[in-house]
Order: sequence, then structure tokens, then C-alpha cells
Amino acid sequence: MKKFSLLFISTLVCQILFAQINIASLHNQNADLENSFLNPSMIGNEYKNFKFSFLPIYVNFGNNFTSAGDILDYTKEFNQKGDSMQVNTSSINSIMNNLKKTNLIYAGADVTLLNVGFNIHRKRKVFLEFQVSARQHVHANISFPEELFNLFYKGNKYYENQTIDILPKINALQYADYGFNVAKNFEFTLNSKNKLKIKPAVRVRYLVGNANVSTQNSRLDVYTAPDGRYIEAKLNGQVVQSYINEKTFSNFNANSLSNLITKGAGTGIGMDFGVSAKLNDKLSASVSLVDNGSIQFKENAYTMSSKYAYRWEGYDWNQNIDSFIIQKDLLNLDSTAGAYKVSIGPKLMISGSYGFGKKAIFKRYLNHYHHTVSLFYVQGFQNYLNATKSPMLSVGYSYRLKNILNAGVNASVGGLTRASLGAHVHFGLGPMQFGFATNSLAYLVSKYNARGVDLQFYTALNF
Amino acid sequence: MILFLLQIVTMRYLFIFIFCFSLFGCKKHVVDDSPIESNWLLPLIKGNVSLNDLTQLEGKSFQYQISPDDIGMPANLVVSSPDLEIDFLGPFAIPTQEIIKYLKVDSIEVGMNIHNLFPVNFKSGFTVTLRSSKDTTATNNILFSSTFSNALQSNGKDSILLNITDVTINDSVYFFIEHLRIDAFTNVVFNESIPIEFFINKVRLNEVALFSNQSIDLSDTVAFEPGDLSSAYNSGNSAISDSSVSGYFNFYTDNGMPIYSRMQMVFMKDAERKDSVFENSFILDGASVDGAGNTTNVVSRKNSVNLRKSKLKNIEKSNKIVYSFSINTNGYTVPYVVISKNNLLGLQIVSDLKLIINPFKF
Repeated sequence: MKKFSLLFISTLVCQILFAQINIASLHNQNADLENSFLNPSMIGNEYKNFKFSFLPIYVNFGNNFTSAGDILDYTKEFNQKGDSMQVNTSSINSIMNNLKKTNLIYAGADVTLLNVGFNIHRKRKVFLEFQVSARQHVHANISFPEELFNLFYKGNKYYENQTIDILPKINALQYADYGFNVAKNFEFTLNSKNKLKIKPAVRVRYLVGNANVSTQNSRLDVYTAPDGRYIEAKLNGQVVQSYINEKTFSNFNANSLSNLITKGAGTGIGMDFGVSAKLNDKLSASVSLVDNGSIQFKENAYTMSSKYAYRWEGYDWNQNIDSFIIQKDLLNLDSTAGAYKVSIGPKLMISGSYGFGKKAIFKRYLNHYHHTVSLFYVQGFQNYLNATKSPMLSVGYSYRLKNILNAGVNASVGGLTRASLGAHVHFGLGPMQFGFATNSLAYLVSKYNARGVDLQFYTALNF
Repeated sequence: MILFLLQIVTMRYLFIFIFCFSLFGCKKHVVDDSPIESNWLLPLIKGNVSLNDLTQLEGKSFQYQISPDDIGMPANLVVSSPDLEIDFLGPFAIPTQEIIKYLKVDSIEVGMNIHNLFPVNFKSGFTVTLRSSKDTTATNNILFSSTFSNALQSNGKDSILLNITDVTINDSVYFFIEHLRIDAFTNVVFNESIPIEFFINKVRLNEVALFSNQSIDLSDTVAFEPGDLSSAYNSGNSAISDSSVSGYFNFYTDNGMPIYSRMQMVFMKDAERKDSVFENSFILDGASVDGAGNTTNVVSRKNSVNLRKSKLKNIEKSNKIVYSFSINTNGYTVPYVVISKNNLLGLQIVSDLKLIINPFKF
């Protein structure tokens, strides 16, 4: 029971907090150290020697199939009618008309416990750039196949003579990672005016998984035979789960703390790769592949499976009535203890930016233009945790005044929320810095486009 | 500070982008209040009907009487007689359907109850014999025979229960009471008849042969009060009065028996036909047969009941229902067709419903 409670609580927490891509913050060049988790080659851009980012946190919650407007319409109708509930078909139709092939509810948080970037100089030039980080992640998503909604909305005749998988999939993962990132600038002279600067970077991450549950490989196939002569349901369920031993918490001491930090319920290695290129001070581009890696869960690791098939052809008057009662062992899972491996959701990001307007000379290394237009393309490889196969394209503008102010807006299409408006603001008071970013501004324009809410906040010391 | 504010004001690009992005977000929300329509295919009931389900012989009983005249005694007169020996009483015909050529019985449990209301005693040793013809001298027409081992006193009751296996019964079946011996009696009056009940408890048939081009037709008329069906149809809630259910109950048959059937239920207002359960009759096509009358295929057919609101309205206006049922072997060119216990009639009812939901409250 305890193990299920722990997983349930973890899953619940994950449902409250969401960790999708923080696209708004990416347009903030003054938060490149914080953004470097989506491209390791971003480190070293906004500080000369050293930056210590203190407890940056990003939380998000959203979905890709129903808007805040639809939900509010429901609530409004319910309140207006007092005790009775009014079902308004427009709200239901709106949801159904906006269904995706895979419909997701997602939540999570990324909390950075330690994020330090520092540059090694040689001959008054940056020679190597380093970053050391420690982060906690809680990611979860529930995906509902379009067929599940359509089955109840349009009826099973819509899927006559078709097999459909209607099982929602749940994924929840809580893990920590300890990363070490190194980047190195290379310069290539193109002509007398231009130099091509290329900065590859690689981050190695030691992953410590604390809890995981996943039904990603489960299916519930429903088949409606032609003319409805029979309906067949086949459950092929597989649930993997793992969690930290309860004794770690009940008898907490230095040893258990060490285990919690270094071993958890499973460990793994992750790698992030990135490369940035600057043709000149105005134009830059980058590509990165992050969250490559997996965690092998060993502690309290179980794979539970269940197979069941049921065919309904109507009440058979030739059979005993007892034969129609589904056997009580239907949900009895065959539980097998053993280690298993889960991915952390790899993503590809391609970006470009163009600076224009007045050029600011700032601390020699940190030259920049006041105005910047930037473009980001993010692509996941599966609908899993904070990754999605639906690509996201974001274009943004930012105004930058030295390290004092950076403010901007962006618009994004695709991804999990399908469309969003965001903004960021950064303030610098000497070495003290803080900033906010959010992608949740679509609601201010149209509540029917708002499908999520998020916020990033950070403080930092920059030297 | 003033310089900083001036910088903010001069961020014209920022405001241009904000304006453009706001336009991006101004996607018009389309209100779609159209009804929700769903279509459902749901199997409701199914099963197979076998030979033994169709014959309906179990639990049947037949009543007969032996009158004083049957044993040569006048009724209501004082009579005397020495010992009597009566070779047979009968024949007592067991009714069969004209359509049946023969029944091959795997097992049958039959019995007979007799209450001797004659003022005389029957000696032990009389028999009950079931014959396929009226000829009491023949032995090859005896289907079975059983002997009463005890004497049956006046006003006494007795019964026999027989389990018979592997017997063929033709279209004519008779039973006789044979070798009845009565003790001598004096000055008695025969003023009542003896009631005999012949009953069938259990039957397992192997085969039934039916004459071709024969039919059994049943029909009846029943008066009824339909009530307010429309109200029930609308669930009694005015808020969803526009919501509705329509569609069909589809009857799928897979007939492996060489019999045709037709069924219909017609709703009438006095002599006026208002509506019917089936648009056309429920029709069951018979399976094809070979030269020996054995089935060679299974014939599938679909019959539908249209669930429309107008039908409920018509039923509301009706005051009686006329139902008709027919089984026949019409159209077969062989003399008779054979139904074996392996021939099945599969029946399945599947609902094909359209559910339309308008905005409603609950």
C-alpha cells in the first residue's frame, strides 16, 4: 500500500506542476545560463567570469485539447443553473472539434538547486566555459487517444470494423541530475571582416531516479465487428514502477541521505549536446540535442502485466448467467520484480537570432544589439513526459539594455499547447539579477486559445 | 531614472511585436451549438435454437377416458359378471402434427396415471402398449409396452413411469391397455368412467422429419391499453424533449434448419391497421436440402424493427395487437425434410441506435 501511496502522491504532484519547454525564457539572452539546459552551448554568453543562478524554478500545467474558455464556460453554466447542471453542447463540441490524435494533460516542475557557470580565460580571451549544476525534475503526463473521446462522443458505429486503442497512458518520473558542462569557442576567419565562431558543448549528467510509474506500453484494443455483431476488448496492460525504499525516510541519517543523493531508486547517465555558430555579432544559430539518456530503476522495481480478452455478442440464453460476470481476477497483475530502464525524453532544438539597432559595447566580451529577433524550433521524439512529437516553433523579440533590462514577447505555434503567447523580463542591479518568463499570455487575448499556464522565476549573481 | 524611462518608451519594436502577437492570438471562437449525435452498435441477446427447443413436447399431457361401454358393461344399471378378460382397450390416439413424418427419439420419459372409478378390481398383469398403428395383432408396431405388476382395486390409483430410448415415432401413435382381467362381480353399478392421463416428462430428439409443403399457422388478437409511450420516450423531462433515440433493432438469423418461418405483430385501432413491429414480416428462410432431405447449408438473414417516434404514436392510438406466426416447409421438392439435433437456428439481436442530445439539464 505504501508503495502505491508514494507513487500516487508523486503522480499527483506531477499533475499540479508541469514542465514543458520554457520557450519564453529562451528569448531572454540574459538568462542563457538558465536556458543552457536546452542547449549546453549557451553557457558563458551573458557573464564574463562567473554566474551563480540561485534556485531557478519553472512550473507548468496544461493540455492540448481543451481551452480555459471551454472550462470556464462549463463552470459558468453550472453556476447559473444552481442545483441543476446544464450541459451545453457548444463546450463539448469545442473540445471535440479541437481534439488531437493524442490528447495530453501534462504537469511538472524543474527546480535547479545549483547552477554555476564560470569561464576560464587565457590571453584575455575565454578559453573554456564550464557549468556545474544540480537539478530536480518532476514530470508527468497522461495521454488520451482521440479514439477514446470519439468512442463516447460519436458512438462505436463510427469505428465499425476497426480496432482502436482507447487506453489512457500515464507517465510520471521524478529524478535528480548532476551535470557537468564544458564548451569551447573556436574561431575561423572567413574574410577580413567576418569570423565564424563555433562553440560546441557537451554536458554529462549523472541521473538519480527517485520514483517512476509508466503505462506507456499498455493497450486496450476495442473492436466493433461489422453490423455490431460483436464487440471485443483486449487488454494488454503493462505497468512499470519503482520508488525509493521507505526505510530511507523512516530512518533518516547521513548514510540514507548519501543514498538518496547518489543512488535513489535507480541511476543512469544522460548527455546533452549543443553547438552554436556566430557568423558575426548580429547573426547566430545553434542546434542541440538534449535529455539523451536513461535511468535504470532497480529499487522496488516491478513490471506488472495483465492480459485479458472479452468478447460480447449479447446475452446468450444458452449460457449460465454466471458466465457473463467478468472474472474477479481480471485486474490481477502478474508482478515481476526486476530492473527496468526508462528514457528521460530527448528533444532536438534548432534556433537562430538576429540582432539589430544600436550596438552596445559592454564589458568587452558581452557586446550585443539592443533589438533581437529570435526563432526556436523544438522537436520531441515521442509523447512522453515533457516531450512531444508535435514540433513547436516560436518567434520572439527582445529589447536589451546592457545587463539592466531585457524585455520581450514571443508567439509560438505547435507543441503541446498548440499556440501560446509569452513574455519575459529581466532586471539587473549590478551583479544581482532576477527575472520572470511565462508562456501564459494567450488568455489575455482569447481564453479559447489558452491551454496552459506556466511561470519561470530566477535570481542570479553575475560577475 | 529619466533616461531609463526614455529607453522604455523608445522600445518601439517591443510594442510592434506585442501588437502583432496580439493579432495572432485573436482567433475567433466559433460557437457550435449543434446537437451531439452518436451512433451505437450494441449486441443485446443471442443464442441457438435446437431441435429440442423447437418441438415443445416436454410437459405435455393428454387426457382419455375408459367408459363402462368399453368393457361391455351398461352404465347406471345393476350388473353381474364372471371373470372378464379383455384383450385390449383402445386405441387411444396421441395427437401429432400433420407436418411431422417421424420423430427419432434419443430418450423419452413418459408416464400414465390411471384412477379406477369402476366398482370392480383389475388383476395385476395388464399392460400399457404404445403402437405406431391400430393393429393390435402385430408385434412390429409396438413402440414400447409396460405391465402393471399390482392389482388395481376399485377406486384405486396407479401410475407408471417409463424411460424409453432410441425409438422412432411416426405420424400415428396410439396406446392401448391390453390383457385386462377383471375379477367376477355381482350387483354392481357402473356409473363413472375411468380417467387416464398420458404425459411426457422429458424428450431428447435425434431427428425430426417434416413433410414438405406443410405449414403450421398460429394467430391471435389481444386487446391492450398502450399508455403514454411518448412521455416515456422523452424521459419525461421537457428540457431534453428535443433529444431522441432512433434506429433499429436488427434480428440476425443463421438458419441451419429446413424450415421457413414468418412472424408479424400488427397494431390495430379496431379494424384499422395503425402500424406493425416489423416493417415487413419477420422472415426466416429455410436451409437448402439434399435428396434425402438433409440440410446442406446455413441461410443468414437480417430482419429489422425500426424504432421511430411515429411508431410509438401509432401504438398509442391502437387498442389491440394481432400477432401471427407461421412455420412451413413450402418449396422443398423432396417428400420430406430432416431436422437433426445438430441443425441449429442462430438468433442474435443487435441494436443500431442513433442518440441525439441537445443541451439539457439534470
